[in-house]
Amino acid sequence: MFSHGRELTSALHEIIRKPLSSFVTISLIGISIGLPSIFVILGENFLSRLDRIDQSAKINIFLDESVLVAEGLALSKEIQSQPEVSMVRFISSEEAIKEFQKQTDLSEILFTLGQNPLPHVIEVVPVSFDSIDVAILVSSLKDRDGVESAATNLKWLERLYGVFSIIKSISIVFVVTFFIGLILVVAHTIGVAIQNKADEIELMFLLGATKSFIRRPFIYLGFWHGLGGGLFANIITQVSFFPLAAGVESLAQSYQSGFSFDRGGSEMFFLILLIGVFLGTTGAFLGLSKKMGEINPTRRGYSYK
Amino acid sequence: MISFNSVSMRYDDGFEALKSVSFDLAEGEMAFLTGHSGAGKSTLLKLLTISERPASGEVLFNGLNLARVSEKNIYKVRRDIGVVYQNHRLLSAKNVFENVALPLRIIGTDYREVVKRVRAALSKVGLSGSEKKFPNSLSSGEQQRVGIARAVVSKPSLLLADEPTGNLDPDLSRDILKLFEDFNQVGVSSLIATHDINLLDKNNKRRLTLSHGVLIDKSANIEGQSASP
Ligand SMILES: Nc1ncnc2c1ncn2[C@@H]1O[C@H](COP(=O)(O)OP(=O)(O)OP(=O)(O)O)[C@@H](O)[C@H]1O
Ligand SMILES: [Mg+2]
Repeated sequence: MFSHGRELTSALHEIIRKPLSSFVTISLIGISIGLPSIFVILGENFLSRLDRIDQSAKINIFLDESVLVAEGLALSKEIQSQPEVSMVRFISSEEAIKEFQKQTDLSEILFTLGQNPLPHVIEVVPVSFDSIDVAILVSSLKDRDGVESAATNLKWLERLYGVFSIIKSISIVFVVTFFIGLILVVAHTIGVAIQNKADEIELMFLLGATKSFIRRPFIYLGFWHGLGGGLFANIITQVSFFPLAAGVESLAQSYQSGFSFDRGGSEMFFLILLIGVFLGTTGAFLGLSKKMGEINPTRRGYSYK
Repeated sequence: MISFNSVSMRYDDGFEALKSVSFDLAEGEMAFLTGHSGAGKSTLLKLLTISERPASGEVLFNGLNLARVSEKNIYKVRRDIGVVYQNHRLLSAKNVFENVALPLRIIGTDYREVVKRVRAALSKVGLSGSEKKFPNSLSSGEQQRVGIARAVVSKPSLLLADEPTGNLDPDLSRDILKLFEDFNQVGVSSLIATHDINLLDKNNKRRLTLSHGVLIDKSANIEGQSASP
């Protein structure tokens, strides 16, 4: 039996026989899926990193210069006993400067200053990271004696998340537009293929072929275009991550060790393929419904000449 | 097998190509359809393949009124009719084997059976060994024989031919005619539209003669009669 498998491979041969016209469509699909995929993967990496920062969000309490180490330690204990607080660390000004020296090469500048410019700091890890809870805790800490100021990094985080969600919704609009465009491109490609085979299709109708039999190879053609485009998109994505991942990783490692760039993994790979196949077959159906209407089995007689 | 009852056919532009045509073709019968150019021969064949529909009257094929067959079911009728075309309508991108196999592919015949049947059909038309050749590398006589092999490969109950020898010289015409007679011998009904004198003179089969859309002669047997209507 001329099974579906046989027809599927013969549709593939069709592409291989005329690689140029297919290549344009396949690379268009590849690029249009590949570009947003790169952004999605980069965004995910960035967001997962933000999450980690979020988990380590702290409130820094800077103490008055006049506060002694012993007083600072006592204050730390008091704060630790509050139910809203999960962890407290007291960092004396000497410890602070040692840490600073370890991380930077600015130690000489500090030494030339002659005296330690850093205050004692109490790091507070809140129980809840909810922005309102944190804000209440910060203002209550500010009011304590000996506290110069208290601050948190959550404000800029919130703003960053806001920017991200705007970028996300703009991207969705772009991606949807892209994909509709792709479906139209595939529909056009299939339409051209149908037109090129008008004689063959006409003959097949005369030999008693059903519409679905005639449709099938074109749907397979759309499937292969989509799959090829999906593969192409995966290649573009992974290749572009070679230089990118190295850069991002070394950058990340200068802040914090143990960060590795996530290339999307097999889930992303198959998702991209699936999107390609979806777009390809949808385009094929659209192209067929547009063109097949013009090929009417009744009116298509054998030509008069 | 075929029964035309007062069939008229009008093209979209209003031209009446067939005017109240009536005739019967019995099971296993072979007949020639003749007449001047534009007489309506091709039109009559198109009614049988439901490529056109009659304006009035009924076209019966194996008892089925073709005027009433819905668009969706046309394919069933076409699978039971083999057609040979003047320009043979072979697909130039496919080789001889694939061209002949096409009707079997369409009805979903098992691949091994396809190979067997295609070989048998090609051997019947004297083209064994040409399976891998492409139509353009064949002579027009050979191309026409491939067309005939394709028309009979699925064992249709009716064989139609529209000017099957139109492009061939007299010797080749005779070969083609011989093929049709062979198929007829094994029981295939056939209707062959032609104005090829060579074809008509060399046999004593029944002749249906059209003139300006009117069937002017449907003699059951015209043995010894001359080719002119
Ligand atoms: N699609 C069409 N639209 C309008 N008129 C048509 C169409 N096809 C054929 N005709 C006309 O119908 C008449 C019969 O045409 P038909 O093709 O049946 O003739 P024929 O007997 O096969 O001629 P020939 O021997 O030249 O093939 C002709 O006058 C032709 O011009
Ligand atoms: Mg004709």
